[in-house]
Amino acid sequence: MGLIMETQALTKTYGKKDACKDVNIKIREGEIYGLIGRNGAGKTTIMRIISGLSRATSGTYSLFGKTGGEMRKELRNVGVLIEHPGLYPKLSARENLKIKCIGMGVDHSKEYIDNILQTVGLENVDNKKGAGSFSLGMKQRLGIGLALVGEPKMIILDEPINGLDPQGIVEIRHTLAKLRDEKGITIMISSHILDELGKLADSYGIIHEGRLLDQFTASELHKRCGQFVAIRTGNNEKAISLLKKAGIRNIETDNDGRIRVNEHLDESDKMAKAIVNANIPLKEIYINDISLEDYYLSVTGGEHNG
Amino acid sequence: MVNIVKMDIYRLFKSTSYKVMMLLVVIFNFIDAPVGWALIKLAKRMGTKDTGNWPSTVKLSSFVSEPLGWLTGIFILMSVVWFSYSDLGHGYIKNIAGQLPKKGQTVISKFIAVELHNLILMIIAVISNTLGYLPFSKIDLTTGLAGGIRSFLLKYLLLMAISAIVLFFSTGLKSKNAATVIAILMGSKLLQLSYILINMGLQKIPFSFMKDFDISKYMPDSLITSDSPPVVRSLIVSACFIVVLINLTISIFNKKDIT
Repeated sequence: MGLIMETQALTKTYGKKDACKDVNIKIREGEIYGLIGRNGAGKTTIMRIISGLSRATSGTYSLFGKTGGEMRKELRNVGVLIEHPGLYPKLSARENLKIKCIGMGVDHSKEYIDNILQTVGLENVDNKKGAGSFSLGMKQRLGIGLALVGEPKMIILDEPINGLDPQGIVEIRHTLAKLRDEKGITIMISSHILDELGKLADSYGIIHEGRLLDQFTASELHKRCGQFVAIRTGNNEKAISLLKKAGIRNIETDNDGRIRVNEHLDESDKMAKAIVNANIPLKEIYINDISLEDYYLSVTGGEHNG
Repeated sequence: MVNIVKMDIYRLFKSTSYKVMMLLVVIFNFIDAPVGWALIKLAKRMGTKDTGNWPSTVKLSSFVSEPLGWLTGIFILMSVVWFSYSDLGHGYIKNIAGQLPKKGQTVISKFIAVELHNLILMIIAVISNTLGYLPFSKIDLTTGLAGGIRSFLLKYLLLMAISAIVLFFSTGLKSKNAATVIAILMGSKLLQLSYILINMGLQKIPFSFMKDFDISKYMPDSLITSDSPPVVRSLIVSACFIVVLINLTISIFNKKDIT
């Protein structure tokens, strides 16, 4: 897969503050890219620039391999949902979609709009109900629907699952996966719900205080996070030597003074038995499962709450 | 560009504020005659002297040449404020502006929709006013009609210029409050009071041609109050205001982020 979007040293400054600085993001065609960061990290700023709503202070970006004026024309193929959905509150979901369809010069027939409503789970919404009276979840869905008008090749979704109930979150996850798999749409998505993002995204970028700290694919994340057997003993050197003699190769000590065994996860009981039988004091042994959240916090130096 | 214009015209006709303003324009223009007639009758009954008589015949040209009577101008300009700001205020602009080759196209399309809006409301004002007089007076359909139509068109152009000013504040500076104030001041002709002060200042400039300078002769909200606006000056003033302000609005709009 080639790159569909790439930024080079993208920077946006407001006054003396850099909202984002020297950001180099690479998004492959047909993938879901998850942008992770806390509030105020710069995710929305980056998404605004890429979607043409904001100008970068410096740096460039390319879309579909094009830059400058040619790239500007390609923005037509990028649907966006930035922050809260922008809707006309007194108009129905259909009317809100129809307005954008007319503006984009695309089909605004009942069938086309019905199809979009069905994609985002709003096919049964009352046609007389103004969008202003929708729940937050319904507004988010309609916002995603608006981003899908005109059959975009890429959509940029800023916190699209905010305000959705658990079922709604699952439905949106399935919808986005379906858009990627069946229509080949590339999706850039930001979310605070890292657990959900972990189930959906193919690649990730971690933004912290305006800077891109890390960028990796899901398979690379698994290698970095994944699972391992964590062991604490009274004599790590002796324990490691013992385990290596038993045939374990992928073993190391981490900064916390734990032994990490990255293989034979199903034989942790045998490892424990071997250590105890060798009279090495065993303090703890467990299967460690680092989540995307844990990895994010380790990269940004944050802490868990509670 | 054509699609964006179609979009703005479509949303104009769908907007509640436009329909409400249309209703107000109809009502206030329609009741002009009945209220006037009733007041004259009341005054006569009370024995008030010099009340005058209700005209038995009125010229259609008098309605056509004055489509912005009473509160109509304010209603139309307030509607311009609400319509021109609604996509920004509700955030709908985010859905589409980024996908356009030039964001400034939304300013032009909005201006075109506003001019259609103004034309429709002015015509409705004329029709409502005329219909309101029908039960009380005969309507002379032809006398002075050509002159009335000329005056209507000039006032339409001058209203376009005032709308461009309103659009500058609502869309360029993204300030609904400033646009509302301007709309009320210009629609009610109150801004002309400030021209007196400006003239006093300008006339102190030591150039001979400034001695009798009167800025109100070059402002669209002043020219529009005339029964028969000067043709050439109205055309030039309208063109200048429209070209300068629309370009300024586009320039500012393009430079600002869409939030």
